[in-house]
Amino acid sequence: MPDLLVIGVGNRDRRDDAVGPVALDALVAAGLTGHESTGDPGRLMDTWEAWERVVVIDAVDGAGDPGTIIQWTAGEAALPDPFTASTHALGVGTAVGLAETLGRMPQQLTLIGVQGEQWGFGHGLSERVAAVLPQVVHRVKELAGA
Amino acid sequence: MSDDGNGTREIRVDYLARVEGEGRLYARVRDGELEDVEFGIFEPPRFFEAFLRGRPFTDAPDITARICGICPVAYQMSSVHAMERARRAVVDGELRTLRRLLYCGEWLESHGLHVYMLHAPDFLGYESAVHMAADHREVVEQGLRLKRAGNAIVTLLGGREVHPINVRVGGFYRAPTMHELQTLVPELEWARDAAAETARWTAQLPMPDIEIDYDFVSLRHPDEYPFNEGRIVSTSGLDIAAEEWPEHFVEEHKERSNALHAYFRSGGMFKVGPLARFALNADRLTPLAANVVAELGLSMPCRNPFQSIVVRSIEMVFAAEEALRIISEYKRPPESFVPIEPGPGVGSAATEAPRGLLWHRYELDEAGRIAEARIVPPTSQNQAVIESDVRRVLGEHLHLDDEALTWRLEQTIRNYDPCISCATHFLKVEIDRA
Repeated sequence: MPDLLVIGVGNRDRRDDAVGPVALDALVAAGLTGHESTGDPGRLMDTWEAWERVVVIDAVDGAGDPGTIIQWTAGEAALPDPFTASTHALGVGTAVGLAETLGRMPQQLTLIGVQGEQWGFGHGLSERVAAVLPQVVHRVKELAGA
Repeated sequence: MSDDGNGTREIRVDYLARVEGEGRLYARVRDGELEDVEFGIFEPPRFFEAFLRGRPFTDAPDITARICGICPVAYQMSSVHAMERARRAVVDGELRTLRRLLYCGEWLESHGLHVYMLHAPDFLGYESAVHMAADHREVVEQGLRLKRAGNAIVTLLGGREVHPINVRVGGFYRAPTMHELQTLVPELEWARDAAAETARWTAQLPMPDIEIDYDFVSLRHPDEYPFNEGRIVSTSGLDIAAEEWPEHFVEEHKERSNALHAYFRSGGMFKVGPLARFALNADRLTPLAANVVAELGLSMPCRNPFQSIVVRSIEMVFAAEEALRIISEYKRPPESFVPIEPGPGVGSAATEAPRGLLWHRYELDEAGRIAEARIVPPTSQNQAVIESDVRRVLGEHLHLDDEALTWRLEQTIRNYDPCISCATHFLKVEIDRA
């Protein structure tokens, strides 16, 4: 699927914030093209603007019970609030806002958010987040047509 | 925000969980008089100190780089210098110079982000950079491009975009070729001139007229504007080596905060960061940076905390100029690192993170494993003076309504580019006028 880029956003050292990079590992192993990001808006825009289709996976807060998966496709509705929270100075929500204003969006952008539970320093997803990881991977594969 | 109608006004700024650090602000005003101000934060590095114990001394740069997503280079630099002192190793020549180049990249990245994306919206009256971009597209694009110029240095020397991995105790895993560094030059030349324009632009932003008599603390080097080396000096006359830090400073726990507050042992608070570096090292700036300072007529020392946005811009001019100088004189070293054997020792080092002095100290056991680690980040050192600034600004702006007052207080906190800048953009603010 050469026209689709998967971006995993997060910090691998902050428990459930690693869900994006961890999902990315599985998708890259399955043959998809991937990129890991801290969520820096400038770098995100630099990365995604050259692609036709982009899927971003990020941990979110405010989306419900841990393990809840939310999805947003650019152009369909307003960006849900959980995507605007970030462990990073400015996150995916800012990147989307800036890209829309500056005309730097990919042709198709889908965000997949996973509600986290543990945000402390350390490794390993919490149980309820780890449990939905296969669903996240499956959902991205479906989007990729893989 | 609230007001109970009985003359007490309470300002409460709560904290968001998903941020690099956690901060909150609380203030109470009774009958028009400021009663209490508390600025509390949670600092993640404490957890890393425990995480470091038992690890080989060579692990420190990789582990500490993960403390802060915005300034991983600073953590790497303070840790490698401290480890090299613990093992009595000397890293100089081109390897030392490459470390300065790496720091140039981080300052450009970090200052570019803060000046344009986090701080400028405060001065121009926008809720965020996204809102500002709609009206000031060229400003935001300039900020993104400046930051990208810094990113390029860190990515080239650090080995990758996320968490640089090319830094090691003793030097680098791989030294760049001259050709690789030359590819950075055109954009750095643009960045140097754009940073000068940025300084001119920030200098004319509307800002509060306030002067605060700070005791500034920063590194000072005999020849250079400081990054990696120098003595720790202050405007009140302190002049010590990094290993003497514990003899002159003390960290105190405050019940309201998980971060330790740093003070002089002799009493009193101090300030680290761009204004401190500028106050103590303006005579070490590179030529264009010094010219811009003269052109703007910036007072030295600069004691208006809101003008930190101007000084950060000047430091971007310096960082771009210094990077260009380093690249023009670069000769690839025959070895990319100095071999250092594991073994016991104690080492301390301070380097200048974008936000200010970052002090590390390590004790190594006989096998070279980390027995004790201590990390004092700049935001922790500035915590007391941030609280003091908020108190001062609040006292001078009580006439403002809740919305304007909250805006000014958040701007006051963002003057410091604390690691909780991210949080202060999501602050939930409560002002109680009981």
